[in-house]
Amino acid sequence: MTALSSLEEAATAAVQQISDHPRVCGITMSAESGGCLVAHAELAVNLPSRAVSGVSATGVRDVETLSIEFPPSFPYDGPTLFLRRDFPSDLPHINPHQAGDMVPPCVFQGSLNDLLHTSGIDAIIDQAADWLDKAASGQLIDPNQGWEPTRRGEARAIFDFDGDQVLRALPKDGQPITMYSAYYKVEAYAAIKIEHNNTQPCEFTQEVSATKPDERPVFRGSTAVVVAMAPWKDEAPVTFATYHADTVHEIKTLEVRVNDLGIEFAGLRKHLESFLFNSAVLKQGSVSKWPWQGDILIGIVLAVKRPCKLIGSSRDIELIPYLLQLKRDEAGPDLTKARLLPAYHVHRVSQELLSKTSGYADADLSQQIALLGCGSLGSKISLHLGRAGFGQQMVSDHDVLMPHNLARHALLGGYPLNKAMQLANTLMNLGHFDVVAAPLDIVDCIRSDDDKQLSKIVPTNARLILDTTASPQVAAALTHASLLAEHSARLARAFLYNRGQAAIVLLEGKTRSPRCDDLLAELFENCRHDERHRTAIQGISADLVEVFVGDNCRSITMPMPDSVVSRAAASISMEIERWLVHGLPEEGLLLIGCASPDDIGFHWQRHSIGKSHVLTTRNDAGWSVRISDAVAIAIDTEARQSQVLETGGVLLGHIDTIGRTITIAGLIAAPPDSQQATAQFMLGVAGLQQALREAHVNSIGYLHYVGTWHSHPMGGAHSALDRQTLRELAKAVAGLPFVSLIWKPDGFACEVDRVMEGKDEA
Amino acid sequence: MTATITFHPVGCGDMTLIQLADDNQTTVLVDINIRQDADDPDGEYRDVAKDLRGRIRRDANNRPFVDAFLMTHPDADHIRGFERHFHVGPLADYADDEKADDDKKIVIREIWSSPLVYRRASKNHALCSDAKAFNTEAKRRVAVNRKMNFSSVAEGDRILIMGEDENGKTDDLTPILVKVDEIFSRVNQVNKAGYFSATLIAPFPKAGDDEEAKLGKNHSSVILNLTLGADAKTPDGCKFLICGDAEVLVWERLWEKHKAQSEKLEYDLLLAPHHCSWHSLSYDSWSALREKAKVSVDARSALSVTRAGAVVVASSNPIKDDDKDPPCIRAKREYVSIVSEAKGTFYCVGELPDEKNPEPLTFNVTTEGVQPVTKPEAGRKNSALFGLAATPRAHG
Repeated sequence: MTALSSLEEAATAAVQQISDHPRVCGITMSAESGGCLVAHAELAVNLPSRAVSGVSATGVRDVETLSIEFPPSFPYDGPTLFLRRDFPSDLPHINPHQAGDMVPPCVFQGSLNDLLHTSGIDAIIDQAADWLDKAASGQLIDPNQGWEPTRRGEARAIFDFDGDQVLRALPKDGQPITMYSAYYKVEAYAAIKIEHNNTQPCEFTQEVSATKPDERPVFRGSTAVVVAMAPWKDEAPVTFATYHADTVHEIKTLEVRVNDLGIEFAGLRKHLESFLFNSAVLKQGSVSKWPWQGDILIGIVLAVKRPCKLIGSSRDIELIPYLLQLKRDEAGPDLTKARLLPAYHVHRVSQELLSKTSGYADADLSQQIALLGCGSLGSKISLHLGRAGFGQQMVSDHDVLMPHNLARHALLGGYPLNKAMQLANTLMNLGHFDVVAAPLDIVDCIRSDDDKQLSKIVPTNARLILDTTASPQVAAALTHASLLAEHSARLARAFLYNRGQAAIVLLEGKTRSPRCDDLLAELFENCRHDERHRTAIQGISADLVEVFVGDNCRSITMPMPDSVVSRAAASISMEIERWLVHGLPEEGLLLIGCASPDDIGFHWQRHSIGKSHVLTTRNDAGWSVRISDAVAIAIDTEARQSQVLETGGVLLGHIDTIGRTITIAGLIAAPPDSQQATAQFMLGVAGLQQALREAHVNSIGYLHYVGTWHSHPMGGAHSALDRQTLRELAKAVAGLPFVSLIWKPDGFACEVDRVMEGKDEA
Repeated sequence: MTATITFHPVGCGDMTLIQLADDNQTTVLVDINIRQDADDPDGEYRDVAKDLRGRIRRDANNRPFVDAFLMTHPDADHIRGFERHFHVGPLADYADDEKADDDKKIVIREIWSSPLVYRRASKNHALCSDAKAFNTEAKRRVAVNRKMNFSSVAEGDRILIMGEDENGKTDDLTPILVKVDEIFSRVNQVNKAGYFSATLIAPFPKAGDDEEAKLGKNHSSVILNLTLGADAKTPDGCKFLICGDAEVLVWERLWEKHKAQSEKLEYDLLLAPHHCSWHSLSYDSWSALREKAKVSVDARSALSVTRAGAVVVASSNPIKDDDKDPPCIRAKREYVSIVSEAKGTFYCVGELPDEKNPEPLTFNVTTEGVQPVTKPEAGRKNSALFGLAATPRAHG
């Protein structure tokens, strides 16, 4: 196939196809200025049944001429569509144009260039035919959806302002207001930003960058945006319910539009003139009547109350922005020579804009999050959440951002040096002004029994505490923090293992059960049975490597690229966003992610973990024994199956000597040579050593033999024999606490014994 | 949303889906004729069940549902496929939640049924099993309503009775009874005024045994004149007259009754009675008398209360100049003449876009009556390729 080399060939082929379209009843071609070719297609319109005169109530005829303008760049660029000059222009979905010109319908939400390349010219005709049918039936918009804002077409000017703030500043008497603004212009593109809090008198100033002849000059400076609205009547804004296609292009047509919208034009004009006058006068020492190098740019915003809310907005007042441009003129500024161009209003970045754009429009954005640790993982999660609209964050870290951190940190360095402060600044750039930086030592704040200290890193009504420090010290402090017991916040921890080959998320259950230490024990119990997880977490290389970050400075860290951290950070953030959008699950959660065999994908496994069974013993100054829900269920099932006979087995767990806690997460079945009787259970030995070793190795050294359990089907706590056995076992592992757990039909009984080396202790 | 009316190509039979312009896009389905062959992927007939399922919504349990289903009368070409595609019995017994969407039975939140029409039909001919299943379900719902004393009746148990039955059988059903000439706006117990209102035109209550015998034989049907809103501000977008298979005697009686105030019969859109049958317009046999057959002036008048630009739709096979009835070419000529007087249009569902592959015919409800919806051209050529694949092609 030969590529179509010329516009004529391409347009002829398109016209051939258009003429075959079932809705097209005739077509002619003509050449237009600017090297364009134009096809005029007669399009049959489905009129509503009662429009028997051949014209709909909205003024659409049963056959309309659609002019299809092919630009010289066709087919790379799509055509532009026009309707007759007297086509009713009080319909929505008409692009801005000059009154008396051909009327340009907006037939497609996206770009016709894209539609042409995805679906062909037929689709463009389909859209135009459908648009005309809807125009005929008055159904171009669905009034249930809201008011369609005035079409801006391909506007090249952008106004950045907070619509609500502008409306609050407007007086009710119809007097316009002039707002201090900054502008920026390159070629035909301009941006104006209203500085809402700047109360300086408005003046037009201009600086020009770029001096080289082949460089595009950049004009910037201060200007004004004049905002006007019709005066209120009876303490309420006056509603304007008619659509007008935008035909404003100079002061005269602006006057027509302004009058249509109930705004007094003389007042608006006075504001514009006095701004120009003041700007010229303030430019002292200049004798020229045009003391600026380039054109003058002024913003105009017309505010109009509509009968219903605007589509996609919570407001029923439409803001229609125009850029007023005065070409450089030695005779001085003359408003009658001004050009008016349609402009877009862009929302200032805000939590709502971010959450809406992220698809979380209904999420509760007031949920407070305490982020502990602003390292590479923490900073990435924090910004993911921030970009999704969740910016009520208190971020803590007492470290500074060092050059080597930049290899995989979400931040880019600079000042302030502290990671938390810099992260907070970045979140503020996203419009999260309530973010709080805590450049403090996290452990100090948690360990203190003082509410005030804790509230420096965890807001009093926080929904979630997210620990991304990967620090065992922080984990221990959090586990045993007495203040957290009554706190509203749920605690979660996220960390990576083995150079990002595995990622873990732990979420404590409601009322801190299961707790993070329980969930960690669950993780290693899971590794005991799942070789894939075990390999991903354990890895084959040492996790931490020294990185020399200066002649006399080194850092111990896990070497991995930014991309690998992001791989985990993205999915961890997705999970947290779900919690924030749909509510946190009541149960505890253990999420294990590990890299897929190709080491590109990442596979996650999710386990809901029930409440732990916590038994406090009086022996040895009160050890706390925490039995996982799964272990408790397994013991209960086995004990009941043995009916009147006693049964038992071996407990696998982890001892936290500092926190005086034993977490039991696994079981080893009684060896085959064990003996069951109605009043006694004898734990055998066959294969037990081997099984214990395996359990220890497969749980990556985390779980080991911490005690035994047996059942008392007839009830009753520890017998003298039980205590004797416990003492014997405790002696054998002198220095370590040892657990004796008894299952009774009505619950558990637990004793812990510890024999210090060289002496007995009970 | 735009309110729409969709006629499915079901041969000589009816299957009309009405979707209202309210936020919930409330659906009213009138009659079904889902032939076995239409359910067969290799079958000749269009898969209208798929068309229907594609248009209706799913509830919180992902079950397809219609808000209301009206059976105009219990002939097979108006209720075929009911057992296969619709759930009967209490909603608590719904058994398809684990099935694929296409295999889930459609839930009917509220049934609109006429015991009188059912009684007349069952006296004159044996009813098909779909009609019997419908009647059993309607009776079950009436029993639930009585038991609940008509309050707090759940979706799936709701029913509206179209017209009083004979011998006072419906006297205790006042809260769920719509009497002839009554206007109602409730769909599935929600007031849809502004988007929907309907006048019950027929069946007439029993008036003497002679008359009853005649009406029984003359295809008694539920006749409703619906007023559909175009949007929140336009309650009278279009008037749509639905009349099942009502025949000439019914139309003569209706004209007699309403000629003084004929707006009760006025329409923008008429679904031609009995698939464009001559028997709705005449007592004579078309095949026996052909052009000598006489049109009943009163029946024709009853079917001619057009608004400007009125549209008549025949839900039938393609209409040929032959002896067949329905559809009957002579009836078509009458309707064409009726709509011409109103500068309107006549459509036959079985002929559009072509006789070989008829497609559902949809109208938008606008502020000025109805507007046909044209299918887009882009993509049509590609889908034609699938048609090619249906026929084996010899290659030498």
